[in-house]
Amino acid sequence: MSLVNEIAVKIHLVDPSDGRTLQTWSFESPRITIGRDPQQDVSLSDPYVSRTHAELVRAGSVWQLFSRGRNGILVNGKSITEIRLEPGMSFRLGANGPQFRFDQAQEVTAQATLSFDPESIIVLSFDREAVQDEAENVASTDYFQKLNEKAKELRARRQGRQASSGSS
Amino acid sequence: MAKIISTHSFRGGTGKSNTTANLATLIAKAGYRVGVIDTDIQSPGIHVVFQFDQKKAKYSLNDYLWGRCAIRDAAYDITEQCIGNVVPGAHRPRLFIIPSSLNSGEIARILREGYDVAKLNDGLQELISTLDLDYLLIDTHPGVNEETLLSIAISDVLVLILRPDNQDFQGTAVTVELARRLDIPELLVVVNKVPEGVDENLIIEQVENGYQAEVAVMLPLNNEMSRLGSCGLFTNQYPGHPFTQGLKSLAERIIKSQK
Repeated sequence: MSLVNEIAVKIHLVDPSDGRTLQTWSFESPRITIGRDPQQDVSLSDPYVSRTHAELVRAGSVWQLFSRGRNGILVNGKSITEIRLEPGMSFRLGANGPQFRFDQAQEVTAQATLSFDPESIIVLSFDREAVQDEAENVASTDYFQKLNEKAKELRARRQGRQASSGSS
Repeated sequence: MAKIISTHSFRGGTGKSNTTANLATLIAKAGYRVGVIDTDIQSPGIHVVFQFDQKKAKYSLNDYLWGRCAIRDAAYDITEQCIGNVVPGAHRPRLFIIPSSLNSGEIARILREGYDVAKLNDGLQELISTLDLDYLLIDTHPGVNEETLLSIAISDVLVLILRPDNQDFQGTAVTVELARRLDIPELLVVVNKVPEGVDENLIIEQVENGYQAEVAVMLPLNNEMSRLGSCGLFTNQYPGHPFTQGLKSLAERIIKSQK
């Protein structure tokens, strides 16, 4: 029986003025994205929200929140790039953007603490969109394109040269 | 068939030079002719791990790049000091280093003027044939620039070294993507400096899912390595250490994939 599959989380969109829940999403997947893009798991058409603004990643029973947008994420009024999420923790997308509360079912958390030592877990994640953009920036240069054309030729030539020197 | 193996990391401090030097030694010890070239011209360092005295070196990679010597003249046989117990005159095993200059003027010139990467490529090919190498390991400069892209592009095997750290994870993802676009035949991910007590399976799962590439080996963060301070080959001094065992499995993996 895998504990990981049982760990469900809820993300509540809350009213920043009184903490009232406006909308709730439930997830069982290990990666949740929040942003303006309609393809995000939590999609909000809000001008303060970036296309990909936040990413929540689970490793074991531990959830980590990563800032992916230009407007940043605030937790307790402080800007963060990444933070380990605890049940009940609130975060805001930018200084004027929407506010969320993270929730994890209590009974599952209790089970999880029996099996996992949170200190033993390192959560790794990267911004896929940024990686693609950065790789594209490099790959679109003349140098890279010429290198790409030449690389296979160079490998083949080297192998050919070695094959001929080996047979001589 | 000679193989070019580039070792690369997105950031400094991943243990790249230590890993490269020890990996090269382990491959050579298995009975091969191995060359190690330090293309980290801006911040050379692998010679320290080999305890190679630069004062004894008349020429360096820089001299070749400026046309002052043939690449063969900048290659030094370090078999005796790194492997030892080799039959005198034996063709195999052999270990060579092609160091970069430590001269600050030379480094400044490279930073100022750059160099002809095509000449570097020619030099690598020439090294393989004149030294009759089975393996040429290229210790690259961290990050992505023209020189590192060239080294990666002509590699048969790309060894990517990262720590279990999100900055490393993000940056290395760019290199993985570029390596894919360059059709590198084999990509091996090495997670180095893994702290004791962390869930290693979770790290492997996250790296493999993120990169869609296999983690070839996880190497432990260790105090012995810190104490050694890069002054010497760790695998020679600690043959039974988990770090050495991990690197041995990587060396075997590389040798096996050639066959």
